[in-house]
Amino acid sequence: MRISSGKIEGYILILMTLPLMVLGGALAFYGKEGALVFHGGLIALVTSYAIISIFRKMSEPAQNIPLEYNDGVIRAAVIMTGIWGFIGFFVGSVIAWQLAFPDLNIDLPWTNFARVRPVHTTSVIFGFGANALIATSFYIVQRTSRARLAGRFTPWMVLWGWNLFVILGVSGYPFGITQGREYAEPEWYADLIALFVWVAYLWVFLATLSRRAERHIYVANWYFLAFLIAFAMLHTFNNLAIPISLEYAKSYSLFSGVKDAMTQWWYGHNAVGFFLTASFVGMLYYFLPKAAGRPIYSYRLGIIGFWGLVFLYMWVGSHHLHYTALPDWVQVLGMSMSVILLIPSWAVVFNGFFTLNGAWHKLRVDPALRFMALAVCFYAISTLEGVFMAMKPVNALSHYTDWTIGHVHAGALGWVAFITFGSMYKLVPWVWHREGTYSKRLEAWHFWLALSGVLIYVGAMWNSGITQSLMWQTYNPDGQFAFAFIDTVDAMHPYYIARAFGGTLYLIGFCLGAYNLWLTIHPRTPIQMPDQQELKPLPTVNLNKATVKSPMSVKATETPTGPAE
Amino acid sequence: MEVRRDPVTGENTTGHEWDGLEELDKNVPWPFKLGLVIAIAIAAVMWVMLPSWPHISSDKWPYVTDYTKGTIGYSDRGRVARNLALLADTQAKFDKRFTDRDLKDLLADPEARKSYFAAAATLFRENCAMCHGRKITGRPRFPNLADNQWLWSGDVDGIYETIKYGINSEHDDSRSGSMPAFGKDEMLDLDQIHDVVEYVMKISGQKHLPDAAKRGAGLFKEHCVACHQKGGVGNANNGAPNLTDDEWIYEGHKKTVYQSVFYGRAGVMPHWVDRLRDAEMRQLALYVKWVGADIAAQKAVELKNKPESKVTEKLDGKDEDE
Ligand code: HEM
Ligand code: HEM
Repeated sequence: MRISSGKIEGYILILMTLPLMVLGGALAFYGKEGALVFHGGLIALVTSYAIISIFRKMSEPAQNIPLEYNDGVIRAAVIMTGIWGFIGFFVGSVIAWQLAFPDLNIDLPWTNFARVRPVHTTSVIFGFGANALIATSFYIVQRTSRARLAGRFTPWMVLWGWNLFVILGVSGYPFGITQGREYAEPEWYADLIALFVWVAYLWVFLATLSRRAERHIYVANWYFLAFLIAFAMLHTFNNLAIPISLEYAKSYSLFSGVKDAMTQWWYGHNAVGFFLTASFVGMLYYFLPKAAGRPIYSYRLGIIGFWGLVFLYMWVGSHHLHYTALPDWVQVLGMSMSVILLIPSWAVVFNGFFTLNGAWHKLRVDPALRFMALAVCFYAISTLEGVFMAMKPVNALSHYTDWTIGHVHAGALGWVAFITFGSMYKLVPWVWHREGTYSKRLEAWHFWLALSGVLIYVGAMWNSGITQSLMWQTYNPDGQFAFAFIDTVDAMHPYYIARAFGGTLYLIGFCLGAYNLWLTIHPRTPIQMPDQQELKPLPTVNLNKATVKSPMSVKATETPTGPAE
Repeated sequence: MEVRRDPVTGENTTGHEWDGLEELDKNVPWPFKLGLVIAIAIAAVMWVMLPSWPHISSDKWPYVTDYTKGTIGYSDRGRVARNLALLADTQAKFDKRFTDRDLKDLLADPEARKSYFAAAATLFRENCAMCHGRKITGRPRFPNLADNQWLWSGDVDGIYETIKYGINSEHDDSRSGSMPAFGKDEMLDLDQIHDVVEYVMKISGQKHLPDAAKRGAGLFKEHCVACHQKGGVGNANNGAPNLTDDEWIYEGHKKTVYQSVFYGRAGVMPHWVDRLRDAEMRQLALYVKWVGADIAAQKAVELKNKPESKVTEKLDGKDEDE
């Protein structure tokens, strides 16, 4: 079997990367801020390295490679997931301790809570989360399509390009480079790179699907597709901005006033909805039934859940702006759609739970499956809670308080990270061809530490949030405040310590997990396991004519296996 | 893959299969359907009752400029306005108890203290504690309010006025007083500043160089008594602090006193008349007096309990002055 050198793909990538290289060079040359010059240099360096390596690979003679899944990029993404996970959880714990003991800000501008906080959110969402999604989506789309990942270079460009974006983000915040838009803090030049990467990601995914050897597209892939398309759109609109010059990183949003706020939260909620929910549901739909060894509970529920979720999330961003300058009708619309959103969200819960029917006994022996089952629980809790918080009277209590932070981390620690941990314990042995993880006992330790961590964290924040909110709102009969703000700060202190403690437990659990997986990857006695399933590509169908000559147009010598024949 | 019957649930699979994964052809369970109907019904009730759907208005065709108003006429602004009016009403009734009575009168009334102390304390913590400290004892750069040493006035009406208009604030009626920058503006040279600082050390009963202090005494008389008065006892008419006690705004080390003389000082207390209601400022003035009296009483008890406590004699610098 021969594989083409991917000439067309390579030239397209080079053509798209060149402008970014020029941009990087220009920023490095004209930049007047240290961090900006560093960013420009880094962009120029990485893009030129990418261009050179593509050229070199293209000029190599076409190789015979075995017809197999492309797992190299998945392995790299798994490693990056681990690295960003550590950074994200570590920084999360640091800022949690800072909130409990403000002296830990150590009076330097770069270590101030306000600048470190986005380092945490970006590292966990776009570092840890996105790398885990790249790894699992690439794995799932290949297996469930029975086709090798499309593109010879593009998957790698996606991985490293995205990580470049995340590095540009987190290395800029401590020096004040930020757009000040939550979950979209990186400045315009980093956003351009992210857009480029995202389009490439979408292409890889679509092209792989297009040559699938299965008649139907598996439900996990629907969710990934929704995530890819939605985020491309959200990212583009939310980041429409005019840079002031090449000398400084600053840019100004195209929108102003309440429209800007609404755009930000239309993005913000859908970042939650598609980045932290839909995509991880995709992960769930593959790894949970795999680990449980059970069929999905209901195909029809899957369909209702998917379309309901995709349709409704787009409406509800305004529940982040209750009681603001946003017109009443927009708020109410967001609130009402949030009510309906509960039901499709819970379709996933039903499917997740009842898929475990007939496999409950496995929870006792398989910590990874336990992670996934608990992830479904936390997903159920945080969506239910989210819907309540979206109701204006409840929001009057919860908004601006630690309750929101509790909700976020019930979702983030309990759902996003738990489903990721569970999946990684399955994925790592599969892509490194190992029999299992190094130690089930360490897995179990990770599980219990993580679970205690979340419960402490979320419990503390619920208490703290409701306490502070009630204190703020209490008047005495004379119409005077019963508490001063500083009293609420006092009241928060024990909860902040508890939260930081819970977060630290979570971090320790994560480190055990990472150590466990590291030993799985580098075992004392290497064991080679065959892949789960051999690849049977469908050689005739190809959507993307422009790139059919790409590495994937495998000139298979086998008899074509038509779909479902 | 064939459709097959799942032995655990008794359901058929859909016949699709991916990498060993199958799906059951299970019908959507009824609680789920019921939930969906209920949720949509709740949303629909909101749409009917509250402002919700945007629509094209006939006069600005074809732009979407209007929205359904809902049947109960709800609006956030209306609600806030109503609640604020209610609050203003309650507060107005309450405020009379302070604005209709003389402050001195209120201060003498033990009932007033009993009823309003807690709320006044909240006011203090909310607005004043960040500078003057929760215990009203101040901190470096911000004066102690419990030491019975007053820059301007220590009686309750005077305190009220300070709160109302501030010190060196932007208000026209602000109290204003500043210490000139003797060094920076070259009114005194470095040696002279050194001497006068030694003199201040002396009159405040701290370690000092006697010779220098003696030289400083003359300079003090020439440059400082206009504000700080003879012997440095301060003047409540222009806010010049007493330099002979052991209460300092700027800590009272040689170094900080030197800075005060060299660079001058003009600390700012904001005016509250634009931010607090009159009754609130009155409560704060009372509060400062109440707590000050408490702390003074406490100190007195401590002093009495300490056997043979010796009040260190202070040099008031009389001999040099006369
Ligand atoms: C060791 C684990 C973690 C700790 C100790 C931690 C701690 C924190 C702290 C202290 C904050 C700031 C809260 C505030 O401003 O009051 C925060 C915010 C946030 N964290 Fe975490 N975190 C952890 C893990 C995660 C993970 C895994 C995710 C996501 C996948 C996440 C997502 C977020 C988000 C989105 C916010 C911003 C919330 C908001 O603005 O409402 N965190 N975290
Ligand atoms: C149906 C599902 C959900 C609904 C209706 C919902 C609703 C809400 C509401 C009302 C808020 C508070 C807005 C405010 O007062 O500022 C919020 C905040 C948030 N939620 Fe959810 N939520 C849902 C699920 C989730 C899930 C699964 C996650 C997963 C990670 C999540 C992550 C977040 C984050 C990160 C924020 C903080 C946004 C900020 O920075 O202010 N939510 N959500």
